[in-house]
Amino acid sequence: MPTEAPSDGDLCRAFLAGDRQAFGVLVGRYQLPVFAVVRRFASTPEEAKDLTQRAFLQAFEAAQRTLPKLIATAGEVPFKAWVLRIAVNLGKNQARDGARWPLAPVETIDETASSRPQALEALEKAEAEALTRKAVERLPPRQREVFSLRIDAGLPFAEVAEVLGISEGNAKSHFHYAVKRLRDEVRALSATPGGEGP
Amino acid sequence: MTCDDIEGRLIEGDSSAEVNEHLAGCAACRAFADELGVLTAPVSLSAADRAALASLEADTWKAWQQRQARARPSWFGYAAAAACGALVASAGFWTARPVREVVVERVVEAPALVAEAEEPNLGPDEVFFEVTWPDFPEGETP
Ligand SMILES: [Zn+2]
Repeated sequence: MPTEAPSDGDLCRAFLAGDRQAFGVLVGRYQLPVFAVVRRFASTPEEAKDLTQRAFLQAFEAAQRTLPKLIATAGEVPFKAWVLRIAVNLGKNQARDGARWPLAPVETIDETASSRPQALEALEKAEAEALTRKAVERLPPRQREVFSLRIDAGLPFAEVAEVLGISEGNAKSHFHYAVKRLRDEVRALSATPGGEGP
Repeated sequence: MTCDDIEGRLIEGDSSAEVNEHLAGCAACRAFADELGVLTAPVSLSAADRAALASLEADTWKAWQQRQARARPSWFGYAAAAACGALVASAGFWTARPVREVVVERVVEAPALVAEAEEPNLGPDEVFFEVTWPDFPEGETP
């Protein structure tokens, strides 16, 4: 009989009671979506790692602050929503502080470029990615948050809404606007020499 | 369903039979679907990103332990903190005192300083008097 995976609440309670393994399971469970969200705003992998680490530390501190309530109740702990909300905020600050990201991760091109057509395809993909990144940077903050949670963290709209404390309809609406705006921006950037907009 | 409806459903990630059927017969929506695929591609993670992720858990655990150690200092830590606090408080007291004295000195000695500054042309036998308006009792103004 397969054993059910422990809930985030169980893991938080176990970790705060001193279970080192529970910490590892929680980090392992969400490190990829958190890293992906902050990666869009970080200029280097190290910076993204630092932001991811900070997001987890702040989320664990939030769990620690609500410790008495956590122990008293068997209720669910929105750890995923906490850590992603923090990641989005850290990413937003990073973008606001004027950090700029490189056009494309070079390793991505090298890994896939085993033949000339593939190399060209990878280059086009990298260019398209770079243009999209620039366009995402120009989105209004809320649209950017929704976009990143939906695309980078891969969350369904209901969870995007939970993380941001908005309705699901609202999340969908922001995403629609974001995509349409991105399309216009990318078209404008592609038409501009060097891909630089105003 | 119109092309606008299909665009909306594609944006929301709908890949139902109905949407696919429309795509099969509509070049414009197929083009939009392709464009959408590019626009909504997640940031691709490089080998360096994956390397950073590989050590994330262990490093985060270390950072957590350090934070906890800072948040809950040992008895030695408490004693050191208390000593530091006392030192800072006394330093604050001694650095604050002269500032207060300076303020007081300025108030008390300001007229003398002003007089000194304003008497450069007086000879040794001349006396500088500060001219002020005399106080007249009410009703006796000249
Ligand atoms: Zn159509």
